[in-house]
Amino acid sequence: MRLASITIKAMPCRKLSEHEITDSKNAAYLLASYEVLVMSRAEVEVALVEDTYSAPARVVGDAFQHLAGSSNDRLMSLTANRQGRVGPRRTPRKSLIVVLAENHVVSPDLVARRLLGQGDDHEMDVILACAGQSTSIIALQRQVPDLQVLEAPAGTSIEDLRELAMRQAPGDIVTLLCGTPV
Amino acid sequence: MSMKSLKPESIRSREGLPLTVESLRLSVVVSAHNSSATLSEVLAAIRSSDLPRDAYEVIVVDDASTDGSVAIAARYADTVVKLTGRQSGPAYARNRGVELAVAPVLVFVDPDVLVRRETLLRMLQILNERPEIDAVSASHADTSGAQNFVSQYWNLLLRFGEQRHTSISAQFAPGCGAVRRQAFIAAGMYDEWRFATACLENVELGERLLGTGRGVLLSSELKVTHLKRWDLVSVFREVWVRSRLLARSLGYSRMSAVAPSDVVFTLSRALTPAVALLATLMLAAAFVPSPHPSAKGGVALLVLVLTNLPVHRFYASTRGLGFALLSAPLHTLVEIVAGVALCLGWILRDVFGDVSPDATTQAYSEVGHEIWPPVPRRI
Repeated sequence: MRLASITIKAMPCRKLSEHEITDSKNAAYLLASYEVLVMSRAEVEVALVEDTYSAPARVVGDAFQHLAGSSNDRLMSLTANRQGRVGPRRTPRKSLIVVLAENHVVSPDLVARRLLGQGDDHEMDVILACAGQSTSIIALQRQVPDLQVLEAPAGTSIEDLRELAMRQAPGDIVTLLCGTPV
Repeated sequence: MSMKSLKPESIRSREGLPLTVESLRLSVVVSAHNSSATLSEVLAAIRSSDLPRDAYEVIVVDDASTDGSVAIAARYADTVVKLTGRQSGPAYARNRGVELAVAPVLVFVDPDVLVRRETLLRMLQILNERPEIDAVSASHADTSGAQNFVSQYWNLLLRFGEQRHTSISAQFAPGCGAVRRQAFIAAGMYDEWRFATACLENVELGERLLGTGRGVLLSSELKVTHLKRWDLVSVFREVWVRSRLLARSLGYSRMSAVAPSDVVFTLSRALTPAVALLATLMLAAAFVPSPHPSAKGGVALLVLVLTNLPVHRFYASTRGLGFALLSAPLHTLVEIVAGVALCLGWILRDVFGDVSPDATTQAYSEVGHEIWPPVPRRI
């Protein structure tokens, strides 16, 4: 698979009010970072068509091998860290995929409830797959510091977003949650 | 992310909603292994159900597929469980799905079975209307998804057994069946220890459900379409494995009483009178001076056809005389395979005892090692 033009965006900067900065939760948010994987229409189609019959774990690995520059190294190590716990595990690794089609939103509380439903002993990877820029990203980031964002072109169908996100999900148990129309 | 970074009390207070979805009535569990050819159609059919979308959840357990079934599952499912390593079998996979299911009723659908729009809703209604049963199974539709001759023959053979025994029994259909979650857990779930392949695990579960006093209704009203394409080899293999395992692990007489609609009994039921009739004819032939070999063969075939007359009449009534005539030799071959496999199963049971997993699995089980995917459990 070839995803040559995938780019990594830095965390979007914005000015926070004094009230927000003093808020401890938002202070943690400032320190946190999240990765945005932006895909073009052609890349989405290539990913969906070419890798239909290959193992998901390999898709993710190959995809990140084509990332360029220092971002590549950073994301490779991140991916390796997320996926690289090879060998026997005592408990299943869990992932939560939040799918947002165009003009869809999701309540951060709903996501948080899903996370809490897994119990305190488990870690969960959270992946937000959205078609175009979503207004839910910032709100979600406050609840989920390690959020991964997969940004597909606007108009990408929910099914395609689900499949793309599944390829990024390292979990043994993957829960998929869809947003609601605005 | 760490769960400790979230504050449950603040989250609950904002919206005041419970953590579980109360409207959820059904958990549909689909176990899939290299099912990419049919999985998309099957899951789309489930999603097209008459039930409101928030009344059921779809859990797909991928049993170590290598063909992209996971990606297909992701397009439709609410939860996808990825089992790694080697294939563990549907009993094991379905149990993993049930461990995540939250609804009071569980529906198991095979990855090559097409449900109708009303199937899930009707299953729920039947379980609500009839508290004396714990599970309800759907029957085979009159036609299979694959149109080749062998698929049609096999589908009708299974249908023949089902339409003759529609009462409450242990026949929890392999294709599509619903069971009360509480009863399923109380019965000990699927026997993943003994049934590592897709064979008879449903009937064995049905027998345990029946043992609790409430059985399985094999509904003739609920029909589902099986999409699997059968050929001669796969039919012979299925009959061989199924008959052998039934004789070796479950006990022929016991299962014949509790699950009479199973295909093994449809095939073997005609064997006993056939053998008796043949023996009588052979005895009579002793008085005939040197009969020709072709005459002997002809008589034997005639006996087999006669003892299977109900099956052939069923084929003729549903598909016409031509189909019935074509299926007669195939049916005879399948019957012989079933008879040999049953005999082998009895011998294996006496020599080696019941089936059990390989030594590594048994060793892990003895040690009690906690690992993912978990070691198969004994009931």
